Amino acid sequence: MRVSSLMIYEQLKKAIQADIDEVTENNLRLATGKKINKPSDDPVGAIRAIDYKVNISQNDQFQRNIAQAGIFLDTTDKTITSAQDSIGELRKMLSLGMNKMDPSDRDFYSRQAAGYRDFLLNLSNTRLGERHIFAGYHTDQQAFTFNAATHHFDYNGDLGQIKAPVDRGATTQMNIQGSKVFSVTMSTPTPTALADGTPIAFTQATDPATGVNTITIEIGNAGDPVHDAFTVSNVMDIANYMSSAWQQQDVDGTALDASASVSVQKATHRLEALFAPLNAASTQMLQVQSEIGTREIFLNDQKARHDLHNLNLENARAKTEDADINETVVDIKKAEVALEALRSSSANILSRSLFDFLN
Amino acid sequence: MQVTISGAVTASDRFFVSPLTDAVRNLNTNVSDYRKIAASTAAGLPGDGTNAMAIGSLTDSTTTDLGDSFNNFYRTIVSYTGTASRAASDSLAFENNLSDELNKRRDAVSGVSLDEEAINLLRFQRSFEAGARMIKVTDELMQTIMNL
Repeated sequence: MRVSSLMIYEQLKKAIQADIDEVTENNLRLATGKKINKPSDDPVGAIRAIDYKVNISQNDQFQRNIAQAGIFLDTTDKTITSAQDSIGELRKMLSLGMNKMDPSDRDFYSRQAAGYRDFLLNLSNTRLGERHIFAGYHTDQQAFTFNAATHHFDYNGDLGQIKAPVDRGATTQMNIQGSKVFSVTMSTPTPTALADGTPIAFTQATDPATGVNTITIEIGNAGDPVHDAFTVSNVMDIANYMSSAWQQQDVDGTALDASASVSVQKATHRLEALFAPLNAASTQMLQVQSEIGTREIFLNDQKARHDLHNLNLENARAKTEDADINETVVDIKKAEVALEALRSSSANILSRSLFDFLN
Repeated sequence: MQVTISGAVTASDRFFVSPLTDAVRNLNTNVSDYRKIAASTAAGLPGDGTNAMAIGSLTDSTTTDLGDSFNNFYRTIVSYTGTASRAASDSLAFENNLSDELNKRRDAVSGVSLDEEAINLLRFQRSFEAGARMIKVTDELMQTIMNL
């Protein structure tokens, strides 16, 4: 082919441009650390990298959910442990102080029980941030409040299960409803008589909306002078009845009976009668703690699995998307050497023509 | 979207609805408080995140309007864009090569080679010199004849 001067210029221009292009491309890879900087660099690889990144991002979110659920469950567990300690103290007080007759002793036990009642109420209204953890879905409300009209403690929450996604298609319940922790379910068989032979009956009624068990305790037979009936629906109620019983009063502050001797008998009966629900509350809390333990084990397993999965995904993503720095540096060097050689030869070719050799 | 017609409606009345006109300029959101997002199944249940989880699960579940999940829909867009862009780049490279080749062919015929032109210049210069020499010799011969 006949080669004109213009063709030589054009050819060299294009060759230099191609070399500069290659250096720029490799520089971009070096700057970003990625060999796929836009989908057109490698359409199939880009899709694969997106898949890996979506999976990693979802796993990260699952990890955050697991951490959040872990904090929720941990706080619940610690709160229940404190409640268990208080219930243990109340049981001890019942064992030691049930038959105390000395007014100062009874006053001491009453104050102690009232203290544990208030402490248990505080525990039942534990908050994590702005959320009441025992109120079901009603996290903006106190789980339990004192009802001045009934002199009982009311549950204001519901049976809502706050769930967190911890894997694709898998959720875990973060909360334990207050009615499952602080309300009492009597285990059967329930005691039928007190130590002195007085008959006792426990009747349970469950509110399906809240899960609260209301236990009616009936002591003695109707018509007996010591016949007594009262209801408790949570451990605060139990502590409240204990505190009042040591004062030989009902929870509304009135005397248990017009006769002082019957009042003493009724108070002693009440204290003895509260043993069973208190024991049931303790057992129930243990069961809840065991459930929390199972959930925490599940969460830890999930976390370990996500960690491993993320590592594998990160490796796969890096292989697909990340640039090999050594290789890229070598490529840049190669392109630079080629560019230098081309510039040098171009300078020689372009600066000489036949005219330069004519005298 | 709300359309209010204040005048009397007649048979030839027409109005034009275009969701795309000034869409970007007028795009804003009415939800300014995250607590107003309907994350729960019923009002007044701040702890209920059932709806939020359902929204989150749209990532991988098929949405009727898209005919696909959000995840797959995005993948398809990226795949289509990447492949189309790659095809366009390949096509540009091919057309550039073709254009270069044709330019070369044209320049091979019509282009100017400096060396060629230099050679031609020399050739014509030498021819001119030869012609001038011939004229000079002829002139000298004529001069000699004239002097006889």
